[in-house]
Amino acid sequence: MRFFPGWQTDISMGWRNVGRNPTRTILACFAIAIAQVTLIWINSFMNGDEAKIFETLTGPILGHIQIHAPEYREDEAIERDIPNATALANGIAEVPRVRVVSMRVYAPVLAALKEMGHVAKLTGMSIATERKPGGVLEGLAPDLVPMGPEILVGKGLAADMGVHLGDTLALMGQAVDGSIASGLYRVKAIIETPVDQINQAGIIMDLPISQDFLGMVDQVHEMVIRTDNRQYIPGVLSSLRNLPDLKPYEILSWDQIVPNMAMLLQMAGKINYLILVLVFLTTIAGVANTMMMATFERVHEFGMLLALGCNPSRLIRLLAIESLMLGIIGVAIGTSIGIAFTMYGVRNGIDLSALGGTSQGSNLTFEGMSLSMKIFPILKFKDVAGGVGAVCVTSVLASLWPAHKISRLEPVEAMRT
Amino acid sequence: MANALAADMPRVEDVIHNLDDLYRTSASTGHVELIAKTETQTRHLKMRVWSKGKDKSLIIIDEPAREAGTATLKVGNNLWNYLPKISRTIRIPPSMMLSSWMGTDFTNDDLVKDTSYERDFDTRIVGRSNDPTGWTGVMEVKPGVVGRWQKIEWVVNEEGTLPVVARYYDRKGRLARTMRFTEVKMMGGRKIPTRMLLETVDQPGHLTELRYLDMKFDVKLSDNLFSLSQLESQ
Repeated sequence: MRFFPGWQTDISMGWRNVGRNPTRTILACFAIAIAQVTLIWINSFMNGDEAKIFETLTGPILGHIQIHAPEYREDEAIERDIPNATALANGIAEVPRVRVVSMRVYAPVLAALKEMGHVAKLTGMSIATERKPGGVLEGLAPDLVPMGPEILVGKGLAADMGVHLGDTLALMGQAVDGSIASGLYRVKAIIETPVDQINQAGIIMDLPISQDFLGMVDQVHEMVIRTDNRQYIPGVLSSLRNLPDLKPYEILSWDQIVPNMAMLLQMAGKINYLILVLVFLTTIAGVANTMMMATFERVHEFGMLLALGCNPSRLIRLLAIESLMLGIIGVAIGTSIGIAFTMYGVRNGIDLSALGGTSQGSNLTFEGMSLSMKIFPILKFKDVAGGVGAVCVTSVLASLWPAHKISRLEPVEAMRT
Repeated sequence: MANALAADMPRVEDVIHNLDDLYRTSASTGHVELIAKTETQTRHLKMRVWSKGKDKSLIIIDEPAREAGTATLKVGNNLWNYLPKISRTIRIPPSMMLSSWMGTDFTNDDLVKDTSYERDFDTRIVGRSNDPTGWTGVMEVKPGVVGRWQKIEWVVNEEGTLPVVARYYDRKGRLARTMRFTEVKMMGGRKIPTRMLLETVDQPGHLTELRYLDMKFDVKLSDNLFSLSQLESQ
């Protein structure tokens, strides 16, 4: 502090100045706080929005990585399957960072309540696995879990067919050996999932029951892998490709399976970034404007100080300290309010459909996935810290420029202003 | 030369008539074997078939044992499958008409469609075919006719009485499938190709073979045979 003799005095002067004009102080702090609230909130909202889209796309059906028999994706023939699936899935589950492995069986079927057949897509999946968070059947009540020859029917299909709980459906399809598969199954529940295809034409069976229906012995059509976090996908992908047992199969990450969606997500990320930049500039401009106005308003006062012999550089220092104090107070208030607001959103979610005044329900269908309009913001420390830094620095810089100009005025001239 | 060609050439009307009524009589019954090969498996089905006019037919699978009793009934444009394992009859919805029939490369539409070459297509004989020997003809769908095929290229035998090869082109003009007719024999008093081989372009490695084991033509069949109640009591 050798270079700034009298800094303690400067600080106490700055503090006194902050309290001297409460209206000005409150207004400046308000502008700064609003900027910080906006930055925290918009950042968290965007984080939540992007995570929501990613989770919706990759969550329930797509997963992070998929494994199929070669050419299954081009021609979903029932016989293009993966044999010895249980042992393979156990091997995959041991790969580090693999959170869950879901096995699926798919088959087009004809479903009939009475005589008329309806086209449906049968999905065999482990009900126990899919009821866990992130699964297709997340939140399915225990009393709706199908047992034995029981099925879940998508609500669109159920409405088309006039199916009710407890009805028995006849299903007809093609077994894995090419023969005709048929069976009678009781409707345990009519479901609405995040997957529009399932809602519209889906029938879900527990994996062993579906394998039995289609004459499959420990065979599946698809293995869906979810990793602990998005960032681990490339690592897990290469580990899986090195597993000798998986050599005959096609192993792809979600963005290779749906490149269009990956591109859309990337584009959405860029648009979010652009919005963030605009919000940042707007809020920062607001702070800068308030601070500059507040400084220019005091030219007369600064002229007086200069006339009393105050060194111009000390004047600048005084103003910088004062602005920094305002910045810290404002940002502290803004951070508290911003975090409180965001935490409310984190807990309760923000329903965009309610904001839009739509009565269409709170889901939007996108690429066959039912996208919830309820966003849960994600609060990140870096966003809060970035806001604190940016708002404080801006408030100091925005007052230094006019201060610098004033310090170069003749005291008499300044006092006349 | 042109005169010689014209003299040999079968009359278009006769060829169409022959193709339209090749297997069609007032009523027929018989046994058929179907072999459906894919890249990974081969299925053998033995079936009994009945048909009456253009509108009614019934197919019941006898072999393999696990599929025995599975039946398909066609009346007009409607198609039902009877599934003995669950004792239920399911009507095939219109949206499934182009899907596989009983897991073969034949579609439900092949069974239902009462295609009349004479009514639906404009036919012309193009000229001689050397391999296979016979006459090449082209059928082009008439404007306003709804159906799967835009064009069918035929090769018929020297006499113009029996088909040898048929190539089916879809509505976009792409070759979709080829049907070969072989092993011409007398059966039920008629000379017919008893073996048909179907290859589809979009399913390489697939081959469906249909063999007529025995056939009786112009038999008497009751209309009751082609009813749902009869289907379920088979």
